[in-house]
Amino acid sequence: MTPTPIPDNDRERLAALRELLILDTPPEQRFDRIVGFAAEQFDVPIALLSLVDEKRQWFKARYGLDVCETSRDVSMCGHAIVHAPDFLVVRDALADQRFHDNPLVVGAPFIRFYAGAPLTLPSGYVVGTLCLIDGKPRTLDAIDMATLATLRDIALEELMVGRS
Amino acid sequence: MRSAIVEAEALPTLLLFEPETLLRRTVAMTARSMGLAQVHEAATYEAALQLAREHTFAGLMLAIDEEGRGMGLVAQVRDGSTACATQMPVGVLVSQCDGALLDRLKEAHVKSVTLKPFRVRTLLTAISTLTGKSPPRS
Repeated sequence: MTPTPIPDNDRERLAALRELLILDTPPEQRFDRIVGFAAEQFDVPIALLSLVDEKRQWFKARYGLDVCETSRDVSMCGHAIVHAPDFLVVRDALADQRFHDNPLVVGAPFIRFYAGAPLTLPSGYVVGTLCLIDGKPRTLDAIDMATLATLRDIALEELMVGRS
Repeated sequence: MRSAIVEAEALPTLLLFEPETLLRRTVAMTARSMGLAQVHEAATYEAALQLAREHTFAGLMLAIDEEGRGMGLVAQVRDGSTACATQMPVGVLVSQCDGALLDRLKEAHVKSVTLKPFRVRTLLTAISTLTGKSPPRS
């Protein structure tokens, strides 16, 4: 397993994340609706709005997953935030050197497919992802990618509501 | 006053009436980002009717509710009561479609019928049918 990379600007990135004042806040329908819609549209069992904190990834909204956070060092979203502006798409985690022995791949929730669209703030800092997870390998075509980008943009708009 | 909505991107303009906000916004924004159409959104029948009366569009996609109310807008387009061309391509979104409704849709020269559950992908394909612009394949 490739350790989750830490961006060079992580301290500033974390400051930008915390300025959102959203970490550890209760679930909100406006975000729950987005991940539920994403799961339905892409026919995946899990969709998350994940924020990558210093030691963990915390889910502001989650569909199909019981836990509200996981450790950053096993987080695929931790990889996705350094992949920005591109999406991180892992077609089959078992066949991917970075993730084949990741605890989230060889154990619950047994991730095989992952697609993470980075949440990039207007300041340029990438605070997390809107991500799709499936228990079987799959791919995304151009329509899927464009749709995921739109849902990511809508989630970002919601994150920035009330902020300049 | 009747006026054409002029778009800098020169994409075909399409009017979308769909009450469900997240579905409507996702379709509109994705159609725009993929270069299929500049989609103008209406959340209510009244808003859609007003837009159709004030602007020309290259296509119309609209939800037909249980009472078949959206058909009124199609009828107004076809009889020239809006600013749009009477032969404008029209697509509809319906929760179910029986023989009677299908006959009405055929009489109104509706070009595409999308049944629930509504998928963004399906709606984008329908928009592509209405505007004649194809989505990228890869």
